Amino acid sequence: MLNGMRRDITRPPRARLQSVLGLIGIALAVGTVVGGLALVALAVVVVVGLNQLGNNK
Amino acid sequence: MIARMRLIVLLTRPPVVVLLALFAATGLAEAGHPTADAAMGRVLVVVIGFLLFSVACNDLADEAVDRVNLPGKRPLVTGAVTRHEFTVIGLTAGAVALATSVTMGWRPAVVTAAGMTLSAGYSLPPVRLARRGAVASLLLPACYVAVPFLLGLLAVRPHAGPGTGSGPVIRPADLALLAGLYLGFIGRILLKDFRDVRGDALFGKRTFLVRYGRRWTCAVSACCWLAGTAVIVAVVRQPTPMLAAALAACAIAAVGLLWVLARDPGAHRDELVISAIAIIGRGMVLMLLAHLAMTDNHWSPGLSSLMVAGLAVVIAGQAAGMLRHGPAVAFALRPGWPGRPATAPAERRTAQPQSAGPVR
Repeated sequence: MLNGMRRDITRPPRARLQSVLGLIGIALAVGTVVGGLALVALAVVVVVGLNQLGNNK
Repeated sequence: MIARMRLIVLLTRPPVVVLLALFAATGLAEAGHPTADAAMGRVLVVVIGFLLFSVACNDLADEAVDRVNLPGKRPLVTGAVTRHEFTVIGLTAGAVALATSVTMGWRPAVVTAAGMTLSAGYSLPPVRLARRGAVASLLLPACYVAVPFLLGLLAVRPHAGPGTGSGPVIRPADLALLAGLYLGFIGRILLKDFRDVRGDALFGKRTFLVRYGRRWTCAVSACCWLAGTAVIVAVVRQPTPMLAAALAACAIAAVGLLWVLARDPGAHRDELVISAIAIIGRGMVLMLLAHLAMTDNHWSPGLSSLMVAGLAVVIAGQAAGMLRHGPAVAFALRPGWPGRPATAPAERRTAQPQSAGPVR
């Protein structure tokens, strides 16, 4: 039970979601770099990062 | 010195720089040169200079309103920078933007000059279009979308035109795509006033939201979202079914969130919903940019669709995360920033007008 609680405390649902999304984002970024689109890869990384901030525009 | 540099970076509003850079990159990709990194660098210098000029105009004009709407979040309000310093920074940035655009050709220079004129007219008296409801919501996207998009386009198409055998510099399809992006962005920019409604109402700044209320604002925003998406899907080069489906899904999700917003879910929920809508909007532009770049780079339709689908999953996940948990980091001036006291009061997170009455 304690182990379960610790897991809940240290790994909230948001972290799990972010891990999955982060992996997909990294895969997309790597794919675009390999495909010759470094600018798009940079845009993906920066926009995905920006999305965490709660900007309203 | 470091503190000054941090302040200058802050003044440019990094999230807005990212947004404008995204539209500039889309312009480059629309022109068929998605990997023109050097051209992009020059465009970014112009865009950042233009943005600093615009921010200076806006913050100088709105100092009193910002004291109510964004206490502790604007450098002028915190005292991190004086009005005189801000004026110098704005004028210098404007001059740098204009001078750099001249080196790109006369067309980019005209676009930059026109953008700066609109931006000054938006914020500064006697015109102050920011106080004029719908006009402001129509004008601001022109600065945010058209200026960077056209600069990106013109940066890699400076010598085309009649007589060069390469067609006009700006083609009807480019303008149609710009129109779609513009319409979509109007739908987003209408929502930014929810955060500022209290101060806007108190100071007689008659934004669209103050004038027509919550429901009409959400309804008009939804129309812009749908129209903008329809135009983009209709005019984008070599659209794949996956791109059309992803963009349509984004627009439907945004309209659904607007429906939630129209039902007045509460001040804090307002912020989260609007942030989620903004994530979807940025995601749509990102998908469009990726699609154009992949098309120019001759990616296969299958791989291109996979990429768009992956982006759609990431964007949907981030929007859902924003709705459920809020922003990961509060992006604001923090205690310890220049001019901000170390024991700053808690940030105001409500957007509901108090003495000005509720937003309908």
